[in-house]
Amino acid sequence: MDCSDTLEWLEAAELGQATAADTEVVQARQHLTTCPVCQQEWPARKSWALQLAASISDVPIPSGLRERLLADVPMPAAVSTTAVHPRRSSRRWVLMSALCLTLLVGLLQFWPQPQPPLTLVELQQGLSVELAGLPEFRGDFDPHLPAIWATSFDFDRSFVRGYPPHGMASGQVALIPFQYPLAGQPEPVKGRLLILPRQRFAESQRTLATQNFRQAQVQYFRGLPGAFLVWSEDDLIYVCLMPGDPEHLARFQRSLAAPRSLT
Amino acid sequence: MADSGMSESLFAVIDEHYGLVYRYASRLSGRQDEAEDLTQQTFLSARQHLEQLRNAGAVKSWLCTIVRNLYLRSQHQQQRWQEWCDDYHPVTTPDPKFEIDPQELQAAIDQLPEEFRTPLILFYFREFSYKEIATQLQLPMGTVMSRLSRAKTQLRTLLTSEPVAAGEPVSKAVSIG
Ligand SMILES: [Zn+2]
Repeated sequence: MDCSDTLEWLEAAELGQATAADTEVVQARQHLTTCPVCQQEWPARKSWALQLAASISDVPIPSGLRERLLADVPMPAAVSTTAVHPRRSSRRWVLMSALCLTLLVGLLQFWPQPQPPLTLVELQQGLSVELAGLPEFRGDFDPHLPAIWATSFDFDRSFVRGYPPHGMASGQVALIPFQYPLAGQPEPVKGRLLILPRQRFAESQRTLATQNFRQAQVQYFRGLPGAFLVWSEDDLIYVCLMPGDPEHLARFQRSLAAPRSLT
Repeated sequence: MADSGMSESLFAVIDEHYGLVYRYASRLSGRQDEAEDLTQQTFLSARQHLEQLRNAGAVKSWLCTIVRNLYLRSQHQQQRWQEWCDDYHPVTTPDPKFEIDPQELQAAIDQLPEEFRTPLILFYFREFSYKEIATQLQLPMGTVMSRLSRAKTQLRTLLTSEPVAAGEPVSKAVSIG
C-alpha cells in the first residue's frame, strides 16, 4: 500500500466509512507505523478531514420545512394502515378514496392534457430517435430556419417531422434532419435541428438559450451521445443536435457563422 | 426496526430523513430554493414507490438515490463542454488552522464535476460506508475510491487557492472559440 492509499484508508476509518477490521485499514495502520512521510502528513490530514466533514454536513435547514413537507406530501392510505405510527383509517375511508381516484382518473382521460415543458435531456433524445418513426409535423406554430442557417440551407417543409413521436405530443416540436459538408471530412456531418415555441421549453433552462446561434456554446450531457447548441430567436427555441465528437458541432457552428462575401 | 419498508410510514420516513435529504439536495444543487424543491419531489416520488422498498434499513440510501436522480434530471445536469485533467498534482494538506469559509466551500463543491461531487458529499456526510456509496452510485468500489481521492484533491486545491505545482491549472476548459 502506498502513501496516498494509506492516507485515504486512514481518513475513511477516522470518519467511519471503513472499520478497523477492514484489511486495508489494518495495512494502512501498519504502513503508518513505518513511514515518516505519512507520520508527518497524517495529523494535518486527519484534522482537515474532520473539519471538512463538519463543514459539508453543516447545512442549515429552512424553518418550517418539515411542516411544509408533511402538508404537501399526501399520506398514502395503503401505507398508513401498516405504519409504525398508525393513523386512524377506516375501511370506508379507503373505499371512498379509491372511488374518488377512479373517478378522477376517468375524468382526466377526457381532459385536454397540457404537455409538460420539455427539458434539454428530452430534446437531446431527438438525436437517437428513428426518423422513419416520426410523423409529419402538424404543430400549432410556424417553424422556420434560424436567420444564419437560411443562407446555407434550403427549407423544405416536407422534411419537417413532429417530435416527440408519441401520442398528442407529436406536434410539440419540429424536427429537421440536416447534413453539411465540413472541410477535411470525407462525409458531410449530420445533425438534427429542433424548433419549439419558447413557452414549451423548460423554464429553468431558458437562461441556457443564448440570443443567437453565434453565441451558443457547444454542450453535452455526460452519458448521452452527441453534443448540442441551444439558442433562441424571436419566440422560438432552437436546439441543434449532432452525434459524435463535440468538435464536429463546434466546427459546424464556426463554419456556418463565418461571415461570407455576397458573391 | 422491522424488515419491511411498508412498516415505516411515509410520515415517519419524512420525519426521520428530511434533514439528510435537504442537506444532500442543497450540497448537490448549491441552491436553497432548488434544494427545497428537490426535497419535496423526493418525498412525492418516495410516496409513489414506497411499496417497492423491501428493506427499511435501506431507506436513507434509497432516498439519496432519488434525490440524485431528480437532481440529474434538473437543469444542473447540463455540463459545460469541459474536460478535467486526469493528472492531478499532489497537494499537501492545508495547515490544520486553515478555516473553511461556508460560501467558498459550496462554491468549490459546485465546481466539481457531478461524478466527483456526489461521492464527495456522501463521504463527508458520514452517513454511508464506502461500500454503501458504491452500491448507491452503482459503481465498483475502486472507481468510487479513485473519484473520491481526486475530488478531495480538487477540493483542497480550490479551497486553499494555492497554485498547484508552479501555477499549473487544475482543470482545463476546451476552447471552442
Ligand atoms: Zn507513507
